[in-house]
Amino acid sequence: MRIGNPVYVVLTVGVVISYTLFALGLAAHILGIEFPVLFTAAALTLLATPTAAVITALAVFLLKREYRGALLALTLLIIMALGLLISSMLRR
Amino acid sequence: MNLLLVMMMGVMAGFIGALMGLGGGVVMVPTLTAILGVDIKEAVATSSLCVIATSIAGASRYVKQGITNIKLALFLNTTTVAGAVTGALLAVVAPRTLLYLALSAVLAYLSASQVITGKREEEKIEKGEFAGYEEDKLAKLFGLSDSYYDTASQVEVRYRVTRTPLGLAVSYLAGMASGLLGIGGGVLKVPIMNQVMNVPIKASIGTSKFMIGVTASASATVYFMRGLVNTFLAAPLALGVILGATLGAQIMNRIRVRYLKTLFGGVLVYFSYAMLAKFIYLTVGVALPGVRL
Repeated sequence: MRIGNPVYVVLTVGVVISYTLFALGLAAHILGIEFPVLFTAAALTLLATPTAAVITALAVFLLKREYRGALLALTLLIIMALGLLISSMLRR
Repeated sequence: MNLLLVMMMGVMAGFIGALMGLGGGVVMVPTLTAILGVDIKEAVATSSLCVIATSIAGASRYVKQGITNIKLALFLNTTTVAGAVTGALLAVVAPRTLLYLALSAVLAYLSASQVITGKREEEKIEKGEFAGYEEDKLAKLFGLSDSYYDTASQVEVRYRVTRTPLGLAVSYLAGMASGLLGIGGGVLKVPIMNQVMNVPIKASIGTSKFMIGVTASASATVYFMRGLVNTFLAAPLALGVILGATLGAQIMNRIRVRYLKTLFGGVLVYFSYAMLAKFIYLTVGVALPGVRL
């Protein structure tokens, strides 16, 4: 299994879901129906997709027993979590 | 609000972003503030969400085409994200004036070298010279070297990643510059990989595109949690961005390397000018045209 294939699937699913939700929300707005939850769901999908791609890469590396690649993905996830924590604390 | 205008703006940002490995914020933020009169904080927050859209739409194409080096992206992002957090911490206390000048000079140099090395890189691709370099220990340990198929030259381009400690250090500085000065990471990530680590320009662009989404998701999440992202404004912008990025990612690999590097050099000239304009504004109070100050 190539590492790129599952990552490609995750990225594409993220693009398709967010695109569909944004398009549905806009279509509803044009028809005079306000449905803000669609925009929020689309935004949340966008926010989650890059992290989901890194988690997928981690899972594929582990399945392939490529522990060095897994170490890279895990280190990045930890740094991202710490960065988010520090940024949230700073901006309070 | 003119939804079509916002969407067109998104198409342009997504297209340029995908073609050059950038986030597209440089197009979105000034146009949102100048044309639509959006508050600067809201514009930056909303554009950060759309930077993720350009990244995942472009990166999905590049990952499928095998241009993105995922391991290298993960490897470099560890220090880029750490640098961005450090930059954000230092932003409160560090004097930025001289940093703008220094970064302007660095970008001017990188721009010139991108243009000068365009023809040479095509020769390196034709002669397989990217594979002739010796990997360093870290690159070998993590298996960072890779290959991709160059559609324009119709050759499989193998490359060996070199000078990874320097690449990590410069990525940290790039992340710090991003956190300190608010510039997108792609403008520095692409030349670092290309000119420091022996990664061909197209692989650098594809890898940078993947990296940007990861970096931007951290800052966009914070903006979102603070309620600064205007999701209604983001909707047409993101739709346009996804269309533009998909189109840009489709054609990037068909463009000859020398033209791509010249285009990228042109983008770097603008960034160099923007940094110089900020320096001049902060030191003598003169506002140069074409730059958000």
